[in-house]
Amino acid sequence: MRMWLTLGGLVAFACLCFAQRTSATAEWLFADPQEVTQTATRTERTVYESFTTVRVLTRREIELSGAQNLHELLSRMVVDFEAQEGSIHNLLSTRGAYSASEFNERTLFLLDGMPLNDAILGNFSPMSFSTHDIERVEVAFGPGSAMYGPNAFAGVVHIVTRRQAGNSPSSFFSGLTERSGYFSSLRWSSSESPLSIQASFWRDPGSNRIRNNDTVVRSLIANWGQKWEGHQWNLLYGYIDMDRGSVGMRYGVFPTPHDRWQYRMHYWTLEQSRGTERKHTLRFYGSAGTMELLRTQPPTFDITTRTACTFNQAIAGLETFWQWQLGNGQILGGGDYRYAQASSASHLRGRHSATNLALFVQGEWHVARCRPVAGVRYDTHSIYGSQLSPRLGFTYQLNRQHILRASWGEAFRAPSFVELYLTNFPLWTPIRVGNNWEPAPYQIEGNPNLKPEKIRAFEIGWKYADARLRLDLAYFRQNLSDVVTVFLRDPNQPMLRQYNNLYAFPISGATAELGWKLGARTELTLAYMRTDYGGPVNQDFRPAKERAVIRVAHWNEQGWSGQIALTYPAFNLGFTDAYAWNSYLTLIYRSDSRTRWNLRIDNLFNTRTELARWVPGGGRAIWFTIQRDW
Amino acid sequence: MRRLTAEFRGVWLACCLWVNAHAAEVFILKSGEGALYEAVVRALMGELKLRNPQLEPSLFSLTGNKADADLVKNLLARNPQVIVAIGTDAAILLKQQMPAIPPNQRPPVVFTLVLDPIAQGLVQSVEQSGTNFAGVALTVRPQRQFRALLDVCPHIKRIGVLYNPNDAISTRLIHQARDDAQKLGLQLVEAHVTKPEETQKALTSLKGQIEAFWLIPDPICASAQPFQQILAFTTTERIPLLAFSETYVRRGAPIAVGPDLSEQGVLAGELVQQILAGATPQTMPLLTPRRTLIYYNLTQARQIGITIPEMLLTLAEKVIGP
Repeated sequence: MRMWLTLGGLVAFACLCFAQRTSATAEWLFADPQEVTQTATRTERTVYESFTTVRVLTRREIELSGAQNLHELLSRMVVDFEAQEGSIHNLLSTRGAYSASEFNERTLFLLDGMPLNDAILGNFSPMSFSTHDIERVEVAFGPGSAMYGPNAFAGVVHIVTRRQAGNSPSSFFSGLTERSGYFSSLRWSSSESPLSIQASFWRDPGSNRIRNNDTVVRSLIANWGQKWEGHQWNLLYGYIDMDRGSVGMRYGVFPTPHDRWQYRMHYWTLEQSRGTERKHTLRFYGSAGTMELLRTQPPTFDITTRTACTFNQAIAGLETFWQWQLGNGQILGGGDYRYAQASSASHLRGRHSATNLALFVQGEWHVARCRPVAGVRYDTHSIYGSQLSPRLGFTYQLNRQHILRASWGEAFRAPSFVELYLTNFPLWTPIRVGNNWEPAPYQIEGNPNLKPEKIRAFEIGWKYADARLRLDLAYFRQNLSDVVTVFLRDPNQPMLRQYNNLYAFPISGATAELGWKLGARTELTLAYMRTDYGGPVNQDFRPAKERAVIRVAHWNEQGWSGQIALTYPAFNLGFTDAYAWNSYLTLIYRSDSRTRWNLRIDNLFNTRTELARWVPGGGRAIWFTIQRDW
Repeated sequence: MRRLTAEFRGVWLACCLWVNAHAAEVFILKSGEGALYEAVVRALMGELKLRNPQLEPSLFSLTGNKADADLVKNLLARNPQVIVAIGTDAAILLKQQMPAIPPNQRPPVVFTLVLDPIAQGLVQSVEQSGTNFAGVALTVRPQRQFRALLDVCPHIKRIGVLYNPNDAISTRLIHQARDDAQKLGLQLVEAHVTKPEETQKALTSLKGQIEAFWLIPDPICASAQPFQQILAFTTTERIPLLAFSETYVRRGAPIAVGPDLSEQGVLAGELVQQILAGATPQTMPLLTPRRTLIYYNLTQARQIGITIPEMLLTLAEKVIGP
């Protein structure tokens, strides 16, 4: 019944907003309707002509989604991602490449071109990044190691800041939700100054059914950009401090109601680029910070027994690449040197470091209606040896509306320092003692002999686009091998687990995304993904087979705007999915050109399942926020 | 349902106006949605804010249905200090509704992003508006475009062009171009197209007679199918195609010289400030783009055997590769 009411509401909303632009005036000849992306190939291409699946979320879509952080944004708006609850942060499973060890390490995150994945876990927590400073998010699916190296395994998420996009009014954004949740963000920017600064802090109260599930984030992003004697210089500094209750909703682990996960990281990059026909880019980048787990050991309700497990990490890198125009083609070639270090006296057997040197080259050609691309990257790592990551792709333009595409590639994921060297790190699992459940420790050990995970994937697709309709269909098949997971080291020691290259399995699937402009300001988006697994996949972490996202968005410069989004399944967690539709409503009222009032309701229809938080079972949650620009 | 929707929209827009009744004396009316208008609005707001931080303009947008006329009537009835019309549709609709307002109560209108305000009857001449409309034209003077072409290919003498002789804007532009071409020692070779199906025939008539092709913002010649035919023709003939905006360079034109859309907003902001300071639109001249942007498509340039000097590339707004 709820489902029918939802669909009825969607149809009514769409009809109400239906209005077609009837006249086309000559100034439209000056408009460029083609969305350009750089994420897939590092060179400019329209999204329409991309050889792999690329999804772009614009500032308008970000505002309409109501998402406060990047994790919420991707899980609500992009069908290829599935949200998962983890103990240290919320995860994203990318096209079924699930996360066996509770991290997002199978996806590479970039901030204005700077890699964000750390060295300890190889991940980046998208729930720690505020959407307030994001102009657009580009996601290129498929193996990306040929251009980006380790971690660009199943996809690359590129965050483009508002400053980088040249669109950044100063503004203040603040809001409240029930149970002491709040969100505040302040951005200073001026067209006269090359500098922009944004500070954000928020508290997400988490589930209303589980203790110690809240998240507190403080972040700072500073951007400086200047053109000087034909050289473009950009300096970016980021700081993220995330504190999260680590009970979360994990199954199989004894509740520890005072455990907190704290993540503090500094990021920086200095980039210089120049030239047009022979463009050269030089980038120094790095990160440094600490991850700390405050734990009660053994798990009790007594906070005084809490101890700190501390991990430190640092990355420093130098990347340089050139783009040459040659006839109908373009060559991009360069190198990347990266030094990574991690230490933990008690949990990583001291200090470890590694270096990675890489060379990469890519060629693109334009031959009649066909645009082939070929690229390869060679990485040589001080711990796990060398890796070769090739990639091929092409697009064929049938006519102005139809385009066919295909791609094939290989990529790898480097083992993280935790997977290599973790020691003395007990997890507490409940065992039955008489009529009670008691915590029993089991250890997870690192494995210095781990090999990188590998993926070999191909994808074929068809795109159609006209003034009102766009359709993107893709079929993909990914063969994963040497997949790292935690398993028994010795059958005689059941409480000792170790990271191992255990699994090899294929994932095949298909995605479809239909965008239909119902009117000048109203769009309906229907998206669907299906994934099928072969081989011995750990059931505990297998994402849902089917996923769907339905969105109806209506936009106005003044007055009311809004979006209703439905996602299926509602949420994923280890053993099970919440097989129900979750619903998100965003209403925006612009009282004048600078003031925006927002109402966001998660789980609008209050669907109940066994899973909690802002998902079915977690109860309806309401956010009220206001934004004021200067 | 359509009618119901239109009525609902009318009521809703009236409510918006009522809400903003006491907040704003400057109304901005866009011709529609899209990045094109948003870029201009952003620049306009920035300019207004810079010069008058207290100003709180209200923003409205046409939807292409019957409710638009009601919206414009309501805007005019509010007797604002200035209305800014962004795009041709908004400016024309304001012009159509203006006679319903008594002459002494007609608000000044600043227009921008209008291709040819004289041909549209918004103003009487370049030197002096003569109406209560003043604003900025979108067209770049042909001379500037021809100079950019000559910078790349100085040997060119004959430039071909297609246009619709029934289109007043295109005809005025061609008149201007003949003069400009003559000043630069160029000859304009013209061919007529009144519907898209005639494009191929017109192009055939130009074969062997021209050394470059000039694409103008004529809704027939610059629409998708004719443009593809023009692009194929110039590629086969190995002659440069000079366009008027970035979008055509992305689609294959080797060179384009076009207006800076942000500047359209800035210039409109300047006019608004002058009117708020007491100037009357009747005596204001028609502004034209001060800054032009140049775009190159290197792939296409190489395909037809043109080498663009590095110095010109550094001055370009954007250089597009393969």
